[in-house]
Amino acid sequence: MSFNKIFVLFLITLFLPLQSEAFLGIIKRFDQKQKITAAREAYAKGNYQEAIEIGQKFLTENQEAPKRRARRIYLVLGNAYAALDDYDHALLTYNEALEVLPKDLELNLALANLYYKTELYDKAIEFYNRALQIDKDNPKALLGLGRAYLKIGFLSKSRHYFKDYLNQNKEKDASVYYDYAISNFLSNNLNMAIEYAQKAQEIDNNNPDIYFLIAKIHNNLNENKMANENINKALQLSDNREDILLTSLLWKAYKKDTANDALKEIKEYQKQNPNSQLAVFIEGISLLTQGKKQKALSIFKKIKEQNNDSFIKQIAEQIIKNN
Amino acid sequence: MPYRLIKLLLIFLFCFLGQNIFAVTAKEEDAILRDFAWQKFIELPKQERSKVGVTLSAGALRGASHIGVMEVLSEAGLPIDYMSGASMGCIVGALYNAGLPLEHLQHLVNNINTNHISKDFNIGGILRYLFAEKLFSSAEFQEFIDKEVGSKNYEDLPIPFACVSADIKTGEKVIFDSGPLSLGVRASMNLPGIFEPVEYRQRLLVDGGIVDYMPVDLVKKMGADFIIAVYALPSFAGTKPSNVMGYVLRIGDLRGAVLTENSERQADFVILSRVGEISSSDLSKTNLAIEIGASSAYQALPKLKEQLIISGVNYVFQ
Repeated sequence: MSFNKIFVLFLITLFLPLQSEAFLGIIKRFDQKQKITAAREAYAKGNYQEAIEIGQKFLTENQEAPKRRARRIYLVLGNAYAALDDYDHALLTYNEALEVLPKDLELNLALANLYYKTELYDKAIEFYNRALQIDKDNPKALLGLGRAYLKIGFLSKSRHYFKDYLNQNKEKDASVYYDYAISNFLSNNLNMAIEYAQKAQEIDNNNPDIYFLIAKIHNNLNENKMANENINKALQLSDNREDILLTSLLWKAYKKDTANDALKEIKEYQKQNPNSQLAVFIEGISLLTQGKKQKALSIFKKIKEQNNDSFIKQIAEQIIKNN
Repeated sequence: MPYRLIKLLLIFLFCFLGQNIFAVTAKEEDAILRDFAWQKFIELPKQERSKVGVTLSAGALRGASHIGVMEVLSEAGLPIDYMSGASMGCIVGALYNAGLPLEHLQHLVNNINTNHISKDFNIGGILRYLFAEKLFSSAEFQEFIDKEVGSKNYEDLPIPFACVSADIKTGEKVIFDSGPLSLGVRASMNLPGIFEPVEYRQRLLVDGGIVDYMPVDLVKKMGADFIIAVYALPSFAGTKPSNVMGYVLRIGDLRGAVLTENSERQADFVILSRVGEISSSDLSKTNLAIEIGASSAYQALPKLKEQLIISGVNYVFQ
């Protein structure tokens, strides 16, 4: 064997292990990518359990996987758990992912959204804020903060974030306008509330909730005609939804010119809803508005005799006590 | 299917459909009436409703939660006729009452630093405190308040306001309800053992929280007949203060917990801000305290509205 042949064989022996390692690496990367694709496809098809199984297997087998790939699989896994309403596991997955990738925008938003969904609003606020630290004008984070602050009743902050979101996003969304209108309505900023409720109505004019909100705003502005028109429309669209109906009858019972109509309507309502305490109360109020005090008091006594500790009962008791 | 089984099924369906399964719950019915009556209540003329007094407790930086509480009460349209406060409660009450927007108040509290409180918070001052036993001066804080509110007097405030301080010589409670606002505020938050007492009319004044942590009695004397007490709740939870300031504040909290028991009994409604996990001296957590205050007040709001409506039921449902 010539020297050259021996030298070539020597080189092959030297590089073979390295080549095989690189080759194995390529295979591993290929396998990881395939698993991620499979998990994503399973998720997209709604096969959440399958996506979870692939995701879990991936994380067990590839603990040293690069962050980029781990991030993708964590997102699929977390989203799949969330889609199956398994919030505990979804929270664990996102939190675990954020330990590895604390600055990942999408993961922070996913976790914030999940906290919002599970009504842990203070935690949602914390992670929306983290998302804003990564991307200071992120629209999803701004909107999330607007909604989370609305839920905890911190209305000025809620309005602040809604405003920022609306300034940056020209896309018209009835639900955002509606929430912003609610935030203003609850703070008695009635002009802003009506402006945005009407914007929501322009986009979605078959939504009873929007008409109901507009009716309540007009009612607080003492614009009775507009309030009645809108609450009637809300009733029509919602097929006489009970909360809207009772509110409408309460308004009518409180006014002298409509108290008698309210009395007739509430008696009809009571036939279908014999257990409604508010209906009995509305009957009493419509009698009181019409000056029929004794009759009204006998109605309130019916509420007093009921065995509960509701606010309605406490009010009825107080009216009886004061008369 | 056997005839009897079909009959039973039909009876079941008849009973089931006979009920209105979409009926609103008792809770929802209460909420409908509450929303309606609350609007009527806040529109009542002053003479036709309860006179509402709000008192804000002491609590050092935990008391920043009062800003969140005031925000919620104010947004709900709650009419406030009288106010009082001790220590941090006095600061928040005074600034709110002087017309500072709540958002500005949040900004102030989130950005406050030691230079706003004392010029002695430096190496020289600390050495004097340690070796010459000279307490820090809180004069800067008075200037800071004056700068923010524009040298207002108690008499200039739209809502009658009082805050409480203590005379370290006699142990007496000293009430500020007239004269320069900033002086009373400084005296009310003047932590004993840290700040030198404020000399005022032969008195040596220190933090009011040590004699009246939550001055319910002040708004009562002013004429309130419905008192809302706001308590920035401390939590001892077996933790140990980490420094001298922490020990001083802990003593105040312990004494405060005893004093507030009586104050809570005198109040018609108590809002508890669950800020116990926040250290009294942690400047970095004021924003969190404000948010906890807002969330605590918002949770308490339905019950508060109900009690106020009940107190004015004759005027709401005439």
